[in-house]
Formats: sequence, structure tokens, C-alpha cells
Amino acid sequence: MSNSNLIKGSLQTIILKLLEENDKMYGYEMTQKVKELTAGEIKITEGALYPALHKLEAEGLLTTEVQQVDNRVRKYYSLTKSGKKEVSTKMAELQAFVENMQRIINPNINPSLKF
Amino acid sequence: MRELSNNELVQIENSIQKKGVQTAELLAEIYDHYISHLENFPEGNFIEQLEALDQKWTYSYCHKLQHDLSKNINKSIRTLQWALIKSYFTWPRMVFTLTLIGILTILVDMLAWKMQVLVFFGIPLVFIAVFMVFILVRTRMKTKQIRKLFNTPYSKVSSSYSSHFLIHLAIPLNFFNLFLNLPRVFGLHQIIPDYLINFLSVTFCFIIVLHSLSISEAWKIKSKTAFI
Repeated sequence: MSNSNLIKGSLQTIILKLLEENDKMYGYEMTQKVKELTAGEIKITEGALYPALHKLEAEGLLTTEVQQVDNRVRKYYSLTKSGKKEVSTKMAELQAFVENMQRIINPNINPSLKF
Repeated sequence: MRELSNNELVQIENSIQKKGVQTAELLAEIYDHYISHLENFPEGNFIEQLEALDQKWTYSYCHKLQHDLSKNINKSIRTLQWALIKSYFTWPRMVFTLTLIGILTILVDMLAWKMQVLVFFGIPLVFIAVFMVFILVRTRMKTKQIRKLFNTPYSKVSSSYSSHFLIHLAIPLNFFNLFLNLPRVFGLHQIIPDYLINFLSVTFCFIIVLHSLSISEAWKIKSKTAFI
């Protein structure tokens, strides 16, 4: 299931959900966490992750904090108030999308059935 | 996870330097990403993993990221400043705004033309100039570590936040030219009636003060988390 287009489309939701669960994280940590949670099935590339993080920060959904770690600076991301609200919206959107996809893939499923 | 040797750190720094990235915020993030990744591999795999990272963080990718980051930083500063400006027109800050307009209106009738220029434009512009110097000095201090690692004769590292704040702060300096120097050059100041000059002075001083206050507040918020 390593379709990069599918992952790209859900990347913002993945980031927001990760930060909801983990309070604050840095970029590399997020790539490793996703790899660990999906047993290596989903790999978030740097090419997609950092632009998404910077965009979410500019939209005011994420805030950053800089910390000194072993003679280098590390940038941690965390959710803002509006970011916390956005997580539930995004999750509901994703849930609805998955349900609809299930109905398309398997038309025999009762349309009113909730997953 | 192991600690990288000094030689390995130098190789990482050289590798990142070649990308020609000048934004301190991005360089810090790339450097941390490289080290965090390479710390997970044994010494024997170092070169191979470093090359793998270089293939992901290509020159064009880094520059695209730098360009987009700069746009995003500009957008976030503008959004924050606009939210702060709007707050001056809502309770309880509205009291300050009305008091400011009241004081300016009283002053404009009391002061002669030259004193008006000094008080209405001179004082806010001096504040802005001093604030710009302060931001420059503070940014240099905050980016010292990154600059030390990645500054080259061909590529000077600077904070993108700092550049955008300085550009925003410099806007009123253009007001000075547009509304004070240009009318003098074209002799317009002799045509415009006094009451209109007074109205314009109050309006532009009000805009400059609001702009300066909101941008300094925005800086205060951003300085907690950025290299400024």
C-alpha cells in the first residue's frame, strides 16, 4: 500500500494526528514514527513532509519551538488551538472518504452501514 | 544510536554547504535531519547513507523549499500583523486607538508645520529605525551558531523571518518620501489647503503608529520560536 499519491493526499491529516498524539515532534521523528506505526509500509519522504509542515505553520495550525540538542538546533512542531480543532475536522473527512471508498470498492455493502 | 565523530560532522556540513541554502531556519532543520538519520547507522554505512540523503535533499529541492518557506513566513507575518491591527479596533484596545486619535488631533492644531513633521513622522520613524537595528543585532546573535557552520564567501546565511520583518518595518519609510518629499519636489505643498494637510498628517501618523506597534507585537510573538 505504498501509493505515494494516496499518502500525499493524506499527509496533512497524518501530521496533525501525529502531533495530537505526541504533543511535540521534529521532522525526522515524524518520518520514523509513521514508518514504525505502519511497519515500514508507509514512508513519508522529506520531499513531501517539510513543505507540508511549513504550510501548516503558515496557516497557523502548527507552532514551532527551537531547542538546543547536542550542539545543534532542533525545530519542534506542535498544534496550535486552531490546529487542535482542525484535527477532528480532518479525521472526520478522512473517515467519510474511507467509508465512501469501501462502498465503491464493494457495492454490495449496505449504503447506510457505518464503518 | 551512536554519536557522530567530528570528521563525520564536517562531512555533513560540507555536504549541506554545497546546496547553497541561505535561510538559517531551513539550514537548522536540514542539519538536524541529516544528523538524526545518520546517528542510526554504523560508521561503515556513513558514506552510503550520506549519499542517500544528498539524493533526497537535492540542490533544486532545497531551493524550492527555501523559496516556499520564505513565502510562508511572509504570509504568516502578514496574517499575524493583520490580526493584531484588527485587535486595535475591538474592545478594550479601542480605548487606546481613540485616545491616540484624540491626542494627534489636539497636537495637529497646536503645532507648526515643521514641528508636525518632527513629532508626527520623525518620532515614529526613529522608533522604526532603532527597532530595525535591534532586530538585526538580535538575529545575528541568534543565528551565530548556524552562520558559523554554513557561512561561505559565496553564500551568507540569514534568517528569513528577520528579512521579512525588516521589509515590513521599512514600509513607513516610503510613506515619508511619498507624502513629504514628493509634494515638496513638485510644489504641491503650496496648493494643498492647511486643513487637508492637518488631516493627512493625523491619518498618516496614525497609520505609522499602528503599523509600528502591530509589527513589534508580531515580532515579540515570533521571536519566541524563530531566529529573530
